[in-house]
Amino acid sequence: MPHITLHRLVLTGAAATLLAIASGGLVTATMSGAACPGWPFCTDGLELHAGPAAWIAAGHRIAVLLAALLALLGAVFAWRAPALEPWARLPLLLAPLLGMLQTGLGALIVQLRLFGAADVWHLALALLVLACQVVPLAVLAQPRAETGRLGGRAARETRRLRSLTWWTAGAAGVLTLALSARAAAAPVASAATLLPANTFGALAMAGVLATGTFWQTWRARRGDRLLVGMAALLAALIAAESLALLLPPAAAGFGVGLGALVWSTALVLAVLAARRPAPVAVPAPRAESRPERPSLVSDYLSLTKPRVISLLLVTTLAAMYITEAGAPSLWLVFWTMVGGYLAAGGAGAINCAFDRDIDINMGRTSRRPVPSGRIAPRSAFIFGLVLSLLAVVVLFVFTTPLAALFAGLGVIYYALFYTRWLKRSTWQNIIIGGGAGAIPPLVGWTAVTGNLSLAAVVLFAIIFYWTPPHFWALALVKQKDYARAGVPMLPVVAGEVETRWQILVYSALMVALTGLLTVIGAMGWVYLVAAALLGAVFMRYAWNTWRRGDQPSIWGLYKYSLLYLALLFAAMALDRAIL
Amino acid sequence: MLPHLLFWLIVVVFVAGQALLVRAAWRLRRPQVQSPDRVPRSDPRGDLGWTLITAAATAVMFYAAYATLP
Repeated sequence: MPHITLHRLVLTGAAATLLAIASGGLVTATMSGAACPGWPFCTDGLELHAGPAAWIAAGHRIAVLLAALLALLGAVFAWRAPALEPWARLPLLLAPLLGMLQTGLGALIVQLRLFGAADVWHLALALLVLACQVVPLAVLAQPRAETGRLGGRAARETRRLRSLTWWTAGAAGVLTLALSARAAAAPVASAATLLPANTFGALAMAGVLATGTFWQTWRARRGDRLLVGMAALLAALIAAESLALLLPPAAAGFGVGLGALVWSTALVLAVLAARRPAPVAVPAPRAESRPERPSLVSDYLSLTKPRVISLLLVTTLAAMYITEAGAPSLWLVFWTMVGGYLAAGGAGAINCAFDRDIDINMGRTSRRPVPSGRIAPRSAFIFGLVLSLLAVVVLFVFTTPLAALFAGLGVIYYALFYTRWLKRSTWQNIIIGGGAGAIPPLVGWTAVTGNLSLAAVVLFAIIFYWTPPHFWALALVKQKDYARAGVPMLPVVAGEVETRWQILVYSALMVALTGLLTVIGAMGWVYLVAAALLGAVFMRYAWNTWRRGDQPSIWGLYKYSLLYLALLFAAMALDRAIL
Repeated sequence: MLPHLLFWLIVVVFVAGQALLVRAAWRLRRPQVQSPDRVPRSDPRGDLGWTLITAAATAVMFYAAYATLP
């Protein structure tokens, strides 16, 4: 029974916070904040014949007061219910503290007349308060299901879904902040908000992630109507949000309220995906017990190594958003991604054609289309060549000549210099070959700016020094394969101890290099803090690999290195967006 | 002040790290383990050369970064 009361209270509190955010968006859009110069009450501005601006500002303060009281009441209930699940109790206790911070910031905005300039923090704190109410609400409504041990495929699909839902929630939060920036009435105020002003980019990102979440929910939990329905609702809300962009900036303040609703829905979906029972076995795509031969299309697609490319494209995309030229247009991003995929895919296909003698001797690669005889090496080579030429043409026509040049160099570097020579001749193969994987940020950077700067070179260096720890971790695990295939990887020619030692050294160099972006003024303190934290975790993994050298440590380093690079570049984009 | 401090901290890590890598490349001139016959033996001078080239290229980048310091 007490939980029912608490549930209703939190639900009302969340609705009040949502109302406060929506009214705040309206205040920003109409620039009504200045109509109430006093704080906390609006006595100076509010009189019988006050204009609509004063009433909007006063209404916002009343909504905030109501939301704060309900958040406080929720915290009192949570304090008196120690048996409450931590995921419900802790956010509820945190909500009024964040609310106080937010209200205090609101007071500063009014007193110091920082209308517009401090809106980002004001809204971000309000979104956090909302999260501290929505997450407990979902936790209380959905007890954690006792799921037995999941099968490999089911566990993988569930992990993927959970990860996607949290990424989508993050994108929804960024989208709301971006909408608030657009809602600022005057260009001066818009610039002063310091928000990610590329609303279209934020919307596209949220839309792509929400679509991916819906698709993954359908794949992994199609029997769970609630989950599928929530994922569909989220996608529909984001689609509705795109209509808000058609409104003039002054009216787009309403979009902030809708954005907060998207944020809430995404959070609820993330909690539900984590707590609702997962099916023990996910239905396989096909019922035949005998493995079916992959289609020709999927074979050609696999030649492009899509999994490898995804990380390369993340670094390309992030580089595009951190240049001094500001946020790029969506079309430029689209064509750069297309060109980047074609270039990396072409290089991958040529690599498959050249490496057939190596791939056939390695368990990891022996089932690829070329070594298994499903695609002739000549066909793979021609396919790779066509993709590479297309990449250069696409980038040349739609971006800049320099981006096309770097993409072409990247293909030659990887497909010829690395694959045909370095890989087969020296244990330095991965170190020098790392340059090929470091080119995508240069493509992204030059696609936006048309020239190369020191910051882009530092991005190149970071990935260059990241490559040895990443690939040597894999080589340590697969060293027998490499020995059988005759590839002089460091663990094969120098042993495990030497490889683990060099992993540690290269990791330290890479982590140190990440700080250089702040030194040269390309990044701010947000990035520096994120890089330091992510780097500290990287060094812990590298240290464990050096000291212990067991399989869990090595696999841990390999997996984290993938996540690390994606998060590091995301931190760069975030730093650029908010500073 | 902070950029200067950070820069020299990174330089110290860089110099120490590169020294260790050059030493490792020098040490690996002689085979450390018995590799299978089909695994080719790389040219020790070439390996050392790659290490030095990498260090030199990174040092040039550091010089350019130093030039941007306020």
